[in-house]
Amino acid sequence: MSRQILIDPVTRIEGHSKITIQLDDAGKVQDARFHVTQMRGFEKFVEGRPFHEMPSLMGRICGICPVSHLMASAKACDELMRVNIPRPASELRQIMNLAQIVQSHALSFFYLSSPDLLLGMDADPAQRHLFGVAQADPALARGGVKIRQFGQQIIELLGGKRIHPGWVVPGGVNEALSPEKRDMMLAMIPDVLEIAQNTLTWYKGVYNRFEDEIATFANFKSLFLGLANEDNTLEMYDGNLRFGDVDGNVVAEVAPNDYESVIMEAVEPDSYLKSPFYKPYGYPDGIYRVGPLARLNLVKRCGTPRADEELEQFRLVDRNSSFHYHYARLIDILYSIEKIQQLLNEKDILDTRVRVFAAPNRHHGIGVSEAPRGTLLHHYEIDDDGQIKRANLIIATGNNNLAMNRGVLQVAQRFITSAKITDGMLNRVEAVIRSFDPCLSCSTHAIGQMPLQIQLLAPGGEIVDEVKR
Amino acid sequence: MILIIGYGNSLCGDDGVGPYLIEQLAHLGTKLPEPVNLLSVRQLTPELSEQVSRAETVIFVDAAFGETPGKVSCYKLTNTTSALRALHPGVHTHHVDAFLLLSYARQLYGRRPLAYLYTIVGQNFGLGDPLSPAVEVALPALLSRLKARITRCMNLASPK
Repeated sequence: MSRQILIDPVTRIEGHSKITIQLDDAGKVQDARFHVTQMRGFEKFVEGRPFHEMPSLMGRICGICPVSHLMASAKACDELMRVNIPRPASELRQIMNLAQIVQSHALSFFYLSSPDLLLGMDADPAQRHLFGVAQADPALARGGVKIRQFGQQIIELLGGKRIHPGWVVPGGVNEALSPEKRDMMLAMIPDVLEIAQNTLTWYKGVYNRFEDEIATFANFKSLFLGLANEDNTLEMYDGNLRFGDVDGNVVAEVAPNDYESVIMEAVEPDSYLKSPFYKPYGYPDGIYRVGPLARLNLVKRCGTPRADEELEQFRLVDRNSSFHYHYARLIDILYSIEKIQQLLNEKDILDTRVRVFAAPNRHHGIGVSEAPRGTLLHHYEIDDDGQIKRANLIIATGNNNLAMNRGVLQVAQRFITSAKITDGMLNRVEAVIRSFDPCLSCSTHAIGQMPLQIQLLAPGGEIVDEVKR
Repeated sequence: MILIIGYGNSLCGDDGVGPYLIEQLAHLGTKLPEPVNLLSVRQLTPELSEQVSRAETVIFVDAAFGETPGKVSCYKLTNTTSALRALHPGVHTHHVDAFLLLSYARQLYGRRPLAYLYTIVGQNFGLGDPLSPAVEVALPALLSRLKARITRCMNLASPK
């Protein structure tokens, strides 16, 4: 008799979800599904709002990565107005976006995933958490605190507050950078650069302990999507949408305005998380991945000295494995800190002309940026009065939905070996999702934490085991 | 240095009473003693541990559930053992309670300051709710108690 496992809720991720694992008559895993169980509906309730409100409204999608939504939203509004924002405004936005990537990645790596990496997937769950890390390796934990603080402080210095800053606006930013604030930011950089580099050294010393996980954590060939520039360096803010393979071979590259020619979104009845796919390959063959792993697989180099050195070593690992999102995330952090330093030293960074004003000049505006978790797209359609008629958001976590589902199945087939769920099984099923660092608050626009539930179901649908956290 | 942290969501009625009280204290401006730092946050997070470890005294202000809306309580936070035992692995990830934050400060930075938690029992916690009348009525008393606590802490810190 086949049976089903349910994991509900999934822990140490942003949002709320559950996993069902279907067993066949022989008791082997036949299928596994990752369900996101809440929705919020931002795309719907912004209809009728003036377009210039969108950055503020969309920033509220998330308390972890509001800056990412501010960026994509403001860029979509720039497009509606058909303006080129002043170069210093673009540089300042980039600094905030990079700071957001740093602080969000620090949360993911140090707070959510380092317990598994430091203490092991099978460690006592009573110790396998943030406080266990603090006991076992206080320097690692302090490093995480410091890097997260750095990102948050940059955001606060630029935007006036850490969460939901109102500083990014259509046409630019609403306040120039003062020399004092620039100097404060620059002064923080040496410390966090060293911490980021040391953490990478530490990580390179431990990832080989996870051979089994590297082999099975969403380890398959797929397309990758990320922003691309002409230099083939890491691009977090501008550029084209590029689909490519693990070796960076380009499959398609289009301007953001043409995104509908390459991306479609499927909806499954058992999840509020949509499933975007690469349109020419169809659903579900058009599976692709976004985020740190995708970004590094698509570029020739990062474009900053330390990150470029790390990228060379990164290329030696199995880059089809989503386990290495962790590795890529650390290189993202290193790159972002270096890039912030470069931008702060630009000669026009203190220029006071940081905003342009205009009425709407077209009915469609599409804004894309790289969020911590991957490519983020906002598309607004407005009427002649500048009010939103339609909004479509393609969220980084949604882009990874098909890959996360395939990864859960792969891990379940490797590690679920009986109808009774052990903690080690549960943790690995969670950890494969955690490696993507999904933000379900963003991608379903759902309120809440991210507990996890796993259900093991028989062929007839009856629950034979259930674990909740 | 005395650090006063008011925490909660000001969009959810009485849950925002902590940040509201920080605003009220901020309005006192120069009437507050110099070494008092005010901090208003949605939730307590691990990265606050460094700042907490640098304080002589930390005063947390939070809303609470209870049967008597407006009831103010004060707890001296002396022992983290029970809180640590109660820690449910995996759930406490990027936000923590006051006990755990103090424990984290000691683990990472070697120092756990004297700490008090002031709570006020709320009634309305819904999205978009205003402060409930019971909480509003109780606020002046809570503010007075906080000011008195600050004064006592200052006196303790002053050289004899």
